[in-house]
Amino acid sequence: MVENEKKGGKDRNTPDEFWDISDLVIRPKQKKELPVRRYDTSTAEISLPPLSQSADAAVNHRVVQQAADAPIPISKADLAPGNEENKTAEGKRATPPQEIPPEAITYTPAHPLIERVTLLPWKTNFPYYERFCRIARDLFYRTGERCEAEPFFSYMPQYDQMTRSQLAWYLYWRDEVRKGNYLKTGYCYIFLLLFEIINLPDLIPPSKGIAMMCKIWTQYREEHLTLDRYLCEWICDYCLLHRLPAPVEQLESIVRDPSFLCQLREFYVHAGQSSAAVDADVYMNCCSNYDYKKSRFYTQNAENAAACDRHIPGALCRVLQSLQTSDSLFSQTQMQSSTMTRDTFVGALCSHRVKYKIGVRYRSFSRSHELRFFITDVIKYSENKLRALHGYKSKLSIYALSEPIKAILNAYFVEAYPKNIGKSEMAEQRPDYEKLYDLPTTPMTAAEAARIEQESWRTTQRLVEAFEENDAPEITCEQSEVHPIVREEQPCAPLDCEQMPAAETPIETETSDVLSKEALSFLRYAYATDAAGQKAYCRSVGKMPENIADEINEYAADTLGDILLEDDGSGAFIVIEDYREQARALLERCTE
Amino acid sequence: MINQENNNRNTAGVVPRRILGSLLASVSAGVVPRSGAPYIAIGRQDEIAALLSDLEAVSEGGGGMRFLIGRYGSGKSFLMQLIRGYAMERDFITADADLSPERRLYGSGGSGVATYRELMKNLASKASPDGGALPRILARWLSALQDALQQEGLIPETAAFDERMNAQVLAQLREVEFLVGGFDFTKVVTAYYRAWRDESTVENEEKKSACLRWLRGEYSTKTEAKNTLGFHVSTIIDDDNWYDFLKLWAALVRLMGYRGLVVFIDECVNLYKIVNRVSRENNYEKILSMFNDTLQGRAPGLELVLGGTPQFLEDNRRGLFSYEALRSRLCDSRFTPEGYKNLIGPVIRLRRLSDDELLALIVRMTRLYSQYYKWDARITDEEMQHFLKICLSRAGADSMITPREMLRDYMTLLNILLQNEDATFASIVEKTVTLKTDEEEKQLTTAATITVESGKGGEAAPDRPAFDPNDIDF
Repeated sequence: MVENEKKGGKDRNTPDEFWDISDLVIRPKQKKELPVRRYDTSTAEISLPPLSQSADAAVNHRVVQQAADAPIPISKADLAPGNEENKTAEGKRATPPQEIPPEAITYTPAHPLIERVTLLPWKTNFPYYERFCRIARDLFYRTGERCEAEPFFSYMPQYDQMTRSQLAWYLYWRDEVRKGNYLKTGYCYIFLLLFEIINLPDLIPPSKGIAMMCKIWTQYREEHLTLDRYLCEWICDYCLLHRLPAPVEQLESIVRDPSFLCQLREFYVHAGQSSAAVDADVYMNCCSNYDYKKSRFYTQNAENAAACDRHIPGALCRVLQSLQTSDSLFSQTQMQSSTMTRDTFVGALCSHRVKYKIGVRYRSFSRSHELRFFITDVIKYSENKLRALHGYKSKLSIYALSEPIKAILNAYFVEAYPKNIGKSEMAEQRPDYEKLYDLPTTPMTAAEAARIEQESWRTTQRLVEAFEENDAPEITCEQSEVHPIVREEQPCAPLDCEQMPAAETPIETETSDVLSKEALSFLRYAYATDAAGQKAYCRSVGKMPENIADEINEYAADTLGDILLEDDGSGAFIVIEDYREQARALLERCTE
Repeated sequence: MINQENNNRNTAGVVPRRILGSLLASVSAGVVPRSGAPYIAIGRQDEIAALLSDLEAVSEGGGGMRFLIGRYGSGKSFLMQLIRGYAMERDFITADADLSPERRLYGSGGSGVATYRELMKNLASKASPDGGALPRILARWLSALQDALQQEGLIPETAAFDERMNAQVLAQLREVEFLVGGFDFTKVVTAYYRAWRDESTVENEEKKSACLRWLRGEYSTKTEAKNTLGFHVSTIIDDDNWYDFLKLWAALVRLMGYRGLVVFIDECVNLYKIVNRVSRENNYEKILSMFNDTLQGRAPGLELVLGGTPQFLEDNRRGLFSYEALRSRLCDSRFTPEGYKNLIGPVIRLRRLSDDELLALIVRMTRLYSQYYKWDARITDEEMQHFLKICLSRAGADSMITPREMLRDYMTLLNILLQNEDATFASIVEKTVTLKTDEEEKQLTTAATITVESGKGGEAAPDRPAFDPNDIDF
């Protein structure tokens, strides 16, 4: 038994093959692992050799003319293996952009609206435009001979995209620009020169660079409108980067243009150099909720437009002058601070040396409602004054303008319109049509008044006289039956004074002839203030109370000059208190 | 001289006492009297004659439209009340309403139909001159039809009578059925008649009331109207169609035996004040359609009288003249020389009353006051003139004085004289007014000149105030 137990126990612990079902289970096919191809997508620089000095020396006008359309050749020497600069040019992978630790530089500019500027270097030192910078340095001192202008187009103009003839023209044109002679040229050449200025601050000092940029902008903006889009931002970046003041003086004509737009508009406002007139224009463009040029007064005629263009900026300028400096204006109105982060020279060819992130903390126009309302109110008040002076009555509503400011503006307009002001204000008061309603002045006389009063009785008589039979229109059958009194009315009492009956005169004696039996019975109930009796009587004769009351009232209106019955509010009729005596007399007479 | 005549008239002249009381109360309160206006109608003969001739034309089946234009206080509303009273006296139905920001001729949100409701509320006839005449007009019409049938020998409350009555009502209403909204209008009036004819039960009273509500334009939805009326109506009176129903009323009142419907719409300057240009022009378009309808014979029996200020009519930027179609219809002809009246045209311009007319008005008021209180007013002709001079000497009075203000002051003066036997005109005026006579004023001016001259010489100037009309204060 023990053996059996041992045997049995052994058997139980070691399963036999019967129980192994692993061969019966269908296993999923294992996927074959494919070899992974890894592509290097990092940026590689493929640079071409620069023009050698010897080649540069050989370049002259004649050579340039001969090889006008050929691309700039790359010399073999430039491609020699020993040349350090060409190590990358041999097809060797360029070094990827290296991350550099950002070292922020913070400074406070001398600008009333910009509180703090933080310059944060670009986080990678990308080398894409190094070649451009190198060529730019090489060509910086090169001068060009007089030649014909060549058309040139590129989305991102660079030297190595130009043919020899284009390069020759560029060099010649740049020389002329440096001399202050701004020849007509394509905008790609202009952008190329701007890129030089931006990227070569070591060769072109920033103070000179900003002057050149401003000059180029003012000289070529009419011909090339694209410049406006870029230069307002690039100049702002250039100044913030090199800690220059805003060149408002040089750009006066542009900044005063209403179409002038810039992300950081506050930069171009009063940098301590602009006059009050410039500031006035800038405030009107950037810091106002109201555009007077869209008003109906402005668009109505050229005279109004000319007056607005002349006097509204003038009046604002006077206000700014009276506040002495714009600083005091800003200190008087609470301005909200805001922060803006911008990348330098967006859209320009720009090496990593001048590529920064600029953080600007400034007092914002768009967020400073108080200042905006102040400027808006000054403009509207000025327009109101002009409207009044030109005889217009309508006015624009003004939010809140202090009395001293109003006094300044009033004084300005008194000076501006010394003679016309009284006349114009009179014109405002009295439009032409008013004279149609004026009364000719005649002296008052008692005799004339007596005559008028006497004659007026005739008008009164005509208005209150009863409806005479002769004047009656043809009455339909139904009418004549319903309203016999219409045909038999008596003349009304208050006619010509001599004919007027006395106030207490009772109603005519022929009453029973003109008032129906129903009416007289109804009047009795009304006189007795018997509402239930009235209703019962009306039901018995099949008439409405209103209808019978109307008959009595119409008769009374003709004879007495007033109605006799009134509704007491519950649907019943009562005799009016003043005429109870007359009603009683009428009823008595009828009873007799 | 005036006073003597005045006294004579006091003994003979009579105005119904209740009307006179109402008239004096209105004048004392500075509002236009709704009754008794003819008794203080001074001047304006030509204007009144022009308006009365319009009523004659309307009673003959024509239509008309007039614009009464004048400055504030020039007497527009007074003239309207005058004509209203006259028209009611002569069997016209009248309706009047003042426009306001909530009541316009055209406007969404019920501001158009609000004017119609106001007109219906103020619907007045000779027998109900204070408004609310709508149920009475209908009752009178139906009673008239009944009486006519009785005259024919038919006995009321018989089947034959009912049948004939139904036929009469439908026959008369069929004449207005062809007008815009006429079918529903006829349906509701017929329903009113049936409720009126049948036994006076609560249900019938409610149905009558529902019909009147529909006729007054008080339903805001068709469903609401259907639920209350108990039958389907394809339209209700609303902002868009209320003027069509006004034309229907004009046609119906003529069928009912009245001479026509005269509608007075005052304070039209509220349309000029509408800020939104589109909304303002919509209202002006409504006026244009009214003008065309009435003068082209498309609204028989309807006279429209609109009152407004000169700006409302003549302002080229916002007034009626800013709307070219109206300007070309309403503006003066090139051949209208300045200073001449032309009352045949649609526009009646009202100047303020002349000084003589104002004096005549004072005389008339004294007369009526004496009659009402049976009291001989202690005021002479010279004092009346003096009073008017005081009023006219106020700054700007030459163009700004209104009879309303002047009469209010004058009534106060008469009230004081009536209630205080020891009071005299001179004592009242002297206490409240610091007016100098011409001679005093001349002396004062001379003294002021001397003062200025002596002041130049360095001598101390005596402290005497110069005359200023603004100092006059009542």
